Amino acid sequence: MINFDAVSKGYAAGFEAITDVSFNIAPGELVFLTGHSGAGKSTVLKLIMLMERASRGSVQVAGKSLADMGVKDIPLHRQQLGVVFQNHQLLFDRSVFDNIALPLRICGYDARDAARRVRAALDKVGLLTREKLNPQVLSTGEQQRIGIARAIVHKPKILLADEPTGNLDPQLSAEVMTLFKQFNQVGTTVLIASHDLSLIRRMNCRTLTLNKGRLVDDV
Amino acid sequence: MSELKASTNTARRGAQQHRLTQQNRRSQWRQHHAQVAKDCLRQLLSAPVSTFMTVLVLAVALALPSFLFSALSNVSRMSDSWDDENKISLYLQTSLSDQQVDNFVQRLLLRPDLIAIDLIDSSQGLLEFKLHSGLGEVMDALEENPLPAVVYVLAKDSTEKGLQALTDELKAFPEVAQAVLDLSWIKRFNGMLLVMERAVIALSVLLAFAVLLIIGNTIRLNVASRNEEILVSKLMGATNSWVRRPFLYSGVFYGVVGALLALLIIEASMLVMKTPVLQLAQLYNSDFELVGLGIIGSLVLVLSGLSLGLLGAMISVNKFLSKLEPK
Repeated sequence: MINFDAVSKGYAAGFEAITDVSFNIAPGELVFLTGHSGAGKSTVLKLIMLMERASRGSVQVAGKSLADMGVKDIPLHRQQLGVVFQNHQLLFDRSVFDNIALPLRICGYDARDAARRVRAALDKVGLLTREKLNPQVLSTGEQQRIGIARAIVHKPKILLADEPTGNLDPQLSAEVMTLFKQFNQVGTTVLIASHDLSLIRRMNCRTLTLNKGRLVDDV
Repeated sequence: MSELKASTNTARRGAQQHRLTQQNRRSQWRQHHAQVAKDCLRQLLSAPVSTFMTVLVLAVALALPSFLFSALSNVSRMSDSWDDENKISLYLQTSLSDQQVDNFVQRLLLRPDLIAIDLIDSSQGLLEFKLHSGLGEVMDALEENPLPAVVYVLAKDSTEKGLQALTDELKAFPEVAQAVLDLSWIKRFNGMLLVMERAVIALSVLLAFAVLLIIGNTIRLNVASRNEEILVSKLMGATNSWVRRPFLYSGVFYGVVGALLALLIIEASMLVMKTPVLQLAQLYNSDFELVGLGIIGSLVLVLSGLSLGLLGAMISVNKFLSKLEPK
């Protein structure tokens, strides 16, 4: 599903965020990506989302090489991904409902169908009663879960998460991880970047470890 | 943990990929446009004062050239009625009898260098003067008709020199009190009109730029304030045209509403000027009437507003979007 082949990403000042990284994630896998901060976790996710392009090597997602994708192909590529951002990136100028409906509007869902799906996603993260509120008034944990609902509302093939438990307490973190596991069980490929080693150990999943931009471990 | 539902069954059913039929897609597209237009209108009306100010500035910028154009077209329409450039007016002696005037006209008719001859005898002149000048009663009080008979002749030769020579020749007849050639004045007037037309075009181009800048800048601020929303939408796979759409709607709104307000300003000032112009025209014995922009002119104005709004918004959003492409 996600295939990195000798991928490097360098920036103008000669700094390389990742160097010669190769791995393959099969469809339906749940994989953690770990390493200290600055090891290149976010860069890997950005390359998958096509926020950035690889300097060397090739990245393939769902059987398609990202290097071959032009500006016009990027939207369709991103529509098959669901992304949970570190700082949740919710929009405070609209309700929880409208935040979650955003990906559906982008993908072109019928309004009634979209409403049904938004409620299903909200139900899934246990925040159905918060539908009409502004996300600003919710707690950090609730905001993070709204972010997750938004990432999965359009049933993406691949779910990416960048430090989804970054500012949550251990209990909330465990709940969030359970959610990811559930999505994985229904066939979604999940890649989670996290530096919360104890949590990762408890999850007992395949883990890719990055160190200074190089892949040092894959267990 | 309890509030998280482990509803794997429903999820599996929902995990089917969403597929859109062609018809579905089209109706969705319409739905989206309607939604965007509604959102855009709501947003513009949520800050009515600043929206109105922007629209007013645009209206003034659009009204100025349109106003000058319609003034110009009115003036040139007026000059059209005197465009017989080789016309000479002969004012005859008032002492001539009708018989003598007739004889004189007969003689003129025989001349090969004249194309047409038009006689307005003194009684006909008096009638018209009474009708248009409003001095009918004063004229009635006079015992004698003070007006001379006038003969308009059209010369075959339209060169300036030939016309001047002909005028001099006609002036030499004893029946003619005065011969007037309006040529140089008309030529100068038409030349002036041409210069004015060019000046108005130059001014219009400048003001069109101003409109473009005003709309572009308004949309740029709009884009900046919705920067986060654009970034998030782009990461979720929004196409550039999807992101652009609400801003294009705003640009079109500004352009079209500005143009409509400009139209209103022009029509109102035409209405105010209508009566005085009519009175002035009557004093000059003319049936000249002020004409506004008309259907075509109004259409051009609104379409200009629309395209300037669209273009201004397009430039502003594209500048922002081009920065978001992956490197």
